[in-house]
Amino acid sequence: MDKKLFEKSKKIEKITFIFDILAIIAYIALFLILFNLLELPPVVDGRMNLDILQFMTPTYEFLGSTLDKWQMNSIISIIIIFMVVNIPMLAVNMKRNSTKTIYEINSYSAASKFVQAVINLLSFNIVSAVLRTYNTFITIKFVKGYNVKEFFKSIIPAIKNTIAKRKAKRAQVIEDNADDYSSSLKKNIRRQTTIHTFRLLGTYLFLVLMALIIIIPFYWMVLTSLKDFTGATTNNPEFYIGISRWNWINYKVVLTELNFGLYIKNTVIVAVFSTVGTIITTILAAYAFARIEFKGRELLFSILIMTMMIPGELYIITNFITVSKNGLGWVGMPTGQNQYFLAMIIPFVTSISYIFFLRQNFKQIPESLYKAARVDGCSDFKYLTRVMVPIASPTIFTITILNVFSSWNAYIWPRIITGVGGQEGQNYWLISNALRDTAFVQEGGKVMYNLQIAASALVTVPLLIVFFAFRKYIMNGIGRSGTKG
Amino acid sequence: MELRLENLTKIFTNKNGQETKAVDSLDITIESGTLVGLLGPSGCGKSTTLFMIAGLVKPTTGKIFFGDDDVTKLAPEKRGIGLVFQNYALYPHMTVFKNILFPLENMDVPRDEAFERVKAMANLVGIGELLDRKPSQLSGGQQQRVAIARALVKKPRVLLLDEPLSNLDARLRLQMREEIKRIQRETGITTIFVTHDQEEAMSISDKMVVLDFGKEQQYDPPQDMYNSPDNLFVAKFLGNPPINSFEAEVKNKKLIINEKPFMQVNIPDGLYDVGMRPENFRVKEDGFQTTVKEIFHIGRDTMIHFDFNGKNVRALVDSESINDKQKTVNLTIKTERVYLFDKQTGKVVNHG
Repeated sequence: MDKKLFEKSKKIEKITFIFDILAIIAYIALFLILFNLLELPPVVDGRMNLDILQFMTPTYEFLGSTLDKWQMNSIISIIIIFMVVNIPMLAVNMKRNSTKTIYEINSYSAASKFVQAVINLLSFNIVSAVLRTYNTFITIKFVKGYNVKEFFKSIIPAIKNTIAKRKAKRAQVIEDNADDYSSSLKKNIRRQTTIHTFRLLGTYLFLVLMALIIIIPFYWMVLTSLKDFTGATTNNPEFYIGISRWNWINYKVVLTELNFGLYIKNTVIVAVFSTVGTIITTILAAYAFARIEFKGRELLFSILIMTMMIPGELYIITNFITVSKNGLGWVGMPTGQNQYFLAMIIPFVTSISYIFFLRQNFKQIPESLYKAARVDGCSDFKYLTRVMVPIASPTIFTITILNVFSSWNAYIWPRIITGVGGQEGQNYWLISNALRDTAFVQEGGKVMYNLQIAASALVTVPLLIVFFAFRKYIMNGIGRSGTKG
Repeated sequence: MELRLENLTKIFTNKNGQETKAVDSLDITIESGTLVGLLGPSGCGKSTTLFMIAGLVKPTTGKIFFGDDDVTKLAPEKRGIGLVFQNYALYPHMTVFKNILFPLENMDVPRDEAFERVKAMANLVGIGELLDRKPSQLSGGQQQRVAIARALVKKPRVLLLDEPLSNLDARLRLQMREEIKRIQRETGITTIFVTHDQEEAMSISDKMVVLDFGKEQQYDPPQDMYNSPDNLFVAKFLGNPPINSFEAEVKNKKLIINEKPFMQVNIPDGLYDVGMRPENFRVKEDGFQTTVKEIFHIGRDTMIHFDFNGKNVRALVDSESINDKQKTVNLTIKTERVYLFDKQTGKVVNHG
C-alpha cells in the first residue's frame, strides 16, 4: 500500500468537489433563470385566471432557441433531477472523504468512484467525470497495484479464473460424495443456508413493503403537485407521467400569486427569531439551574417543571389576552399599529422542556472543570460560553432543530394571532395557516387541487431535507427528552 | 514563597443542621520552594484544605497567608495558584495547546508571549509533540502532564496537586512521581501534594503533614516522621506492612511482654500501647524467645507471625536467618525502635 497514492487520491477528490460545487451552482442558477421565465396566466379583474393555466401554450426564447411549453418543462425537470442526485452525492462524499482512512479503501471504493463518474457524465459535469475516472484508476493502482493497461488486461483472466474456480468446486462436490456422514452434514448445511436466505428475503420484502407504504403518499404528493388540473382531478389518475408534463408552473403560481413566498418568509422570520431566543434563554437558564447556587433554586425549578404538566392549549387564552389590546397591545389595534411578529415570537422564546433537557446535559459535565476554570481566572459567563456550550453543542444543536421544526409546524397560535385584523393579519400568515386558509377555490367552486398539493409539498419538502440531514440529532433529542418537542 | 495557615477551620453544615468539622484549626507554615505532602485517610479533610488554599472553598474561620499577604478573602484567580485535579479536568473540546493556553488567555497575556510560554511549558513536562491532540487521544500519564503544564503555565506562586496520581497504573505512578519531583525542583515552586498513599507521599515530599479528622497529627520530613512518630495514629498510618501494636504493662521501669521483662524503659509504670515495626526485628541468639506461629517467605524477606501479649505480631527478617522447621526464634529490637504510646492521648512517651 502506497500512502502517497492515497494522499493523491484524496487531493484529486477535493479538486473534484470544487467542480461538483460549481456544477451545482450552475444547476441552481439555470433553474432560477428558467423558473423566472415561466409565463403566468393573465390577471383579470385583479385576480389571476387559474382556469386557463393548463391550456396555455407559451413559447420561450432561451439562448437563441425557441422552446415550447413541454420542452421547457423537460429541461427544468432534468435540472431538478440533476440537483436531487448531485447535492446528496456531494454531501455524502465530502463527509466520507474527510473521515476516510487508508484501511477503508478497497475495490468497492474504486467501483463507487467509477459509478459516480458515470453519473457526473450523465449530468453534463464533464470535468468531474474525467477527474473521477482518473481517480478510479489511482484507487485501483492503490488497492491492486495495477496500471491502467494491466488493469484492462487483467479483467478477462480474472473472469476466467473465477469460472475455473467454480467448476473446480463443483467437481469436488461430486467427488466427495463417497462418505455418508459428511454428505449428510453437507445437506444440513445446505438446508440451513436455504432457510437463512429465505428468512433474509422475507425480512427485506417486508421492509420494502413497509417503506413503500410510507413513501407512496410522498410520491403521490409530489406527483400530483406537478400534474395539471385535469390530471389531478381525473377519475383514472396516472401513476407516472413523463417529464415533459411536469408542470413546474404550479409552484410558480403558488409562490407568487398565492403569496406562499411571503408566507415562507414570515415563517422563516418567526422560526429564526424564536429559535435564537429559545437557545439564549435555554442556555442561560439551564446553566443557572445546573451550576449556580442560589436560594430557592430547587423550588423554582420544580415550579418550572410543574408548568410542563399543564397542556399548552390551556394558556392560549391568557396569552392572547396578554398580547391583545387589553394587555401589551401587539394585536387587535387599529391597522398599522399591530406587531404581529412580536406576538408570534415573544411567547415562544423559551421552553421548559429544553431547559430541563439541557440542564441534565450540563450537570453531566464534571464539577472539577468548573473549579479548574475558576482557578484559571475564568468568569462564570466565559466558562459558560467557552467550556459548557462547546461541550454541550450536540444537545444545543438538537434543541435548535427541534425548535425550528415546531415553529415551522406551529398552527394554533399563529392562526389566532393572524386571524385578528382581517387583510393585515393575512399578510402575516405562516405557511401552516396559509395551507389551511388560502382560497384555492376558483370561481364556480372549482378547487385547484394540484396547486394545493404543490403548496403542501413546498411546506413538507424542506422539513424532510432537514430531517434526513440531521436525523441523528433529532432522534437523539426525541429519545432523551421524551415525546415532547 | 512561604505559605502559612493560621487556625484554619472548615465546618460543613448539612440540611438537618448537623455540623461536620472537615478541617480543625490547622496551623502549618510551608517554607518557600518545598514540596509538602498532605497525607491522611479518605475523608480527613485533605482536599478541603487544598481547596481552601485554592480559594474554591471558603474557610469557616482562620486565615491563609501567601508570604505576608492575607489571601483568605481573595478570589481564586487572583491568588496565583496552579491546581491539578484528580481527574485532570482538561477541557475535552480543546486541543492540548488550547488547554494550556486557556489560563493565559484569561490573564490577557500578549499572543506571542503566550504561545512561547505554552511551548516552553509543554517541553518542560515532555508533551511538546502532542500539542495538536485532544485530551481524549492522550494516555493517562500524558493527560496528567497536560494538567500540570496548564497549572504551571501562568507561573503560579503555589502549585496544588489533588491526588494527581491516583488515576494512573502502578508503573506510571512511579514514573510520574519522579517527574513531578523533577518539575518541582526545576521550577522551584512551593507545592502542596494531596494523597492518601503514604508511600507516594514519603517518596515525593520534602515535608509531610498527616491529617486525621481534620486535625494535624504531625508535620515533619518523611523519614523523621517514620522513625519518630508523634502518636499512635501516625505510627499506624505510615509503613507497609503496618506497625505491630499491642498492649503491654510497664512495671518497675521494665516493659513486660509475655510475662517476661522485655526491655528497660524510663517511664512511669502503667498500661501502654506498644508499637514495633516488623522490619526492625532482628534474629539474634541472645534475643527474646518467641514461639513461631507461621512463616511466610516473600522473596528477599521472611515474615514470621508470633504472639506478643495475645496479639498477633509480624516480624520481617532476613530469609537466611531462619529456616522453615524452627519452632521458636530469638528476636531482638533496638530500644529506640520500640514506641510506647499513652493509652488516653495516643501521644508517644519514650521519644522526642
